[in-house]
Amino acid sequence: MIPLRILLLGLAAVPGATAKVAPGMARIPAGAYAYPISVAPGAPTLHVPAFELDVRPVTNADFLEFVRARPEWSRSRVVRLYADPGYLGDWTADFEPGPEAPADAPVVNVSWFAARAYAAWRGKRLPTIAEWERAALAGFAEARGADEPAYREATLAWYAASLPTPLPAAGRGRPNFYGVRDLVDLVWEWVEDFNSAEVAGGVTCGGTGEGVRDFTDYPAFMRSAFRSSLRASYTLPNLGFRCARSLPSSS
Amino acid sequence: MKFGLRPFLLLAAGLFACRGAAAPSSPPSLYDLGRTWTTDHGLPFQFEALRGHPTFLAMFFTRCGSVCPATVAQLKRIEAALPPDTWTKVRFVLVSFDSEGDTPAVLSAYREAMGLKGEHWILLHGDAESVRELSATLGIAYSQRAPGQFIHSGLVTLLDSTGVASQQWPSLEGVLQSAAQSAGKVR
Repeated sequence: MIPLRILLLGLAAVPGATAKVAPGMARIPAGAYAYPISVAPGAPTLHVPAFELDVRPVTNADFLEFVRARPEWSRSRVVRLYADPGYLGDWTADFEPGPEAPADAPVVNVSWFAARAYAAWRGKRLPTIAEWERAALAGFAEARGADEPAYREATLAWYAASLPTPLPAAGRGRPNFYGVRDLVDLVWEWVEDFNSAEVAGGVTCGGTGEGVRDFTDYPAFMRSAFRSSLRASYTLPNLGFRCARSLPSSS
Repeated sequence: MKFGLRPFLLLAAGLFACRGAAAPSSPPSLYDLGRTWTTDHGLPFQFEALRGHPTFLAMFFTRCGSVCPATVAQLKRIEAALPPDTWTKVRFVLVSFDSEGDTPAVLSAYREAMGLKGEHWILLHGDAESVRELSATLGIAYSQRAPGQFIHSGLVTLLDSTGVASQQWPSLEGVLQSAAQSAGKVR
């Protein structure tokens, strides 16, 4: 009888743990992450503490709530340092997303500053590269998507496809192993440290060689190259974001 | 090639958006960041205090053994080469990447060690969020490798007297003599 009780307790602990995750968020367990491209040879593998990540990207409806509460982030009032002139360019007016920006579609044409301000307003933050990539390493059925051909093919197919307009609704993509959706099938996403020295630029201090760790993860290379081409005020029609949150115990 | 095409089109879109940035409203000023920093004297500091002063700004960390000391040396050469009518106006700001290690006391010791004399040299400490924001705004890439160890791009930025980034130079290029002249020309 004792083993059975332990087993039952074990089962009971699982729903208990998931119930603590904030609504609309999924928990990504602690683990290691190594940048696929490393400026300094022998750069350390990062330990990424457990965290919570929004299940889907932020939508136009979500962002409209934010802009209403913080009108300094509306299209006509945003400070130019914080967003280029394309900011919310697919919206009809300051407080009107309009037909090109359906309420349930991911918000795009937002700068890093705006994404960060939104996250802070929600009591959250942007995920780091390591956090985002850790979540995206998972496949549909396994924690390592690289071992799952169907997942790899689906991901590559999305990166090869052109951008539909208007964008489809967020949150409809097939959930990955952690229950996170739309990481690699809807829009590209801002991360907190998008300007990390992942890729050696013209003048970089502290490292001279580029070391490629894993030649097979093309999507990760593309994301890395894409991020390194961004500036914080840029807005793009396929670049949105989602929020993250540290766990109280780990922060 | 179909696979690789999309991001590059997007990059082109990004450049396009950027190029359009000058026209519609006043150019972006760094003063709008509105963060509060701490000087090596332990005093609060906002970039707004630089209004009226053309400013050379670089990011660094005190334990950096290569690019950062060279950058500071370049800035000192600019200081020495400033046109006589501008040198009392120009400010030199060094902002540390190392939020944990480079406390005001450590920055103060660095000022001493590097011979940065006078209050036109301003050494700043900020929290991690402010440092990330400033670096992202200036287009400076950096990553922490270990406590007190960072890899980063080396850039010197010239802010005009309204806080607008008017020019940027890689900090190891020998163009900083012309930078001194630029300080006399910006508004």
